[in-house]
Amino acid sequence: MAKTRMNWEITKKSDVWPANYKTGMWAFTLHRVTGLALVFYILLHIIVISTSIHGAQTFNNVMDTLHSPFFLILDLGLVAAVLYHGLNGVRLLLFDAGIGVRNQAALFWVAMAVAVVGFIYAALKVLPLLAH
Amino acid sequence: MQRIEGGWAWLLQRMTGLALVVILVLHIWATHFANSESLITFSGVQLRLSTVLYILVDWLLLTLGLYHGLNGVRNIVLDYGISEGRARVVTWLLLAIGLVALVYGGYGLTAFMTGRPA
Repeated sequence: MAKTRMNWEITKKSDVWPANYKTGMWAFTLHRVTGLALVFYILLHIIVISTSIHGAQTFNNVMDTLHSPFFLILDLGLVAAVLYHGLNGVRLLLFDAGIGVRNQAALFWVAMAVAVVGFIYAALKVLPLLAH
Repeated sequence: MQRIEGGWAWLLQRMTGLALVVILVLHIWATHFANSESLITFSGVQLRLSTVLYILVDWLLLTLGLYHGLNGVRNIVLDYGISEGRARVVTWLLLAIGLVALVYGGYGLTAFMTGRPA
């Protein structure tokens, strides 16, 4: 039966004791951190895209600002968060189906390898745009 | 059928997550990689949202994304352990935020689809 409660105590047996904080725990923590970041992002994104209700000119003006190098770099950060959260999420779905639980750490690195490939693909698209 | 522990929320979090992996990739590809134009413009978005596929993709992204994200926040809060009464408040609060965001985002999408004048 899967573990359902985290052990937050500061003892050698706990989940957060440094010696016990291995790959799987980092995966879990980063999944939550990226998840929270993405929630903030989606709310912000809805607000930004909905400037469309004020007409094409307003929308395009907002987009012009968001095409500046600063925001393009932030976009790459977004891509990294999406890739991490999504690919680790797929890893978690496999575990929920009972697949690969014994090899959880190895699967994490497989997911990260795919994430890196995806990130390079996105970076290659964005890099030319930074030359402003 | 085996009893699902944690109920629908648990299952929907996984199902929306899986769906979002596909839909999000499609969305990012369509907005940034599909056309030759690198930069986003109102008319560009309007063109993309004139096809049923992309209307569906964006609407699904809005609803499923909000569900998955806000339910995720709920999971984090519940994990730290709060009383049943407070948990109910948190759930309704997140539901309210989700509905407001859904309506507002819906307005934003339809602005492209109906071509509201500048």
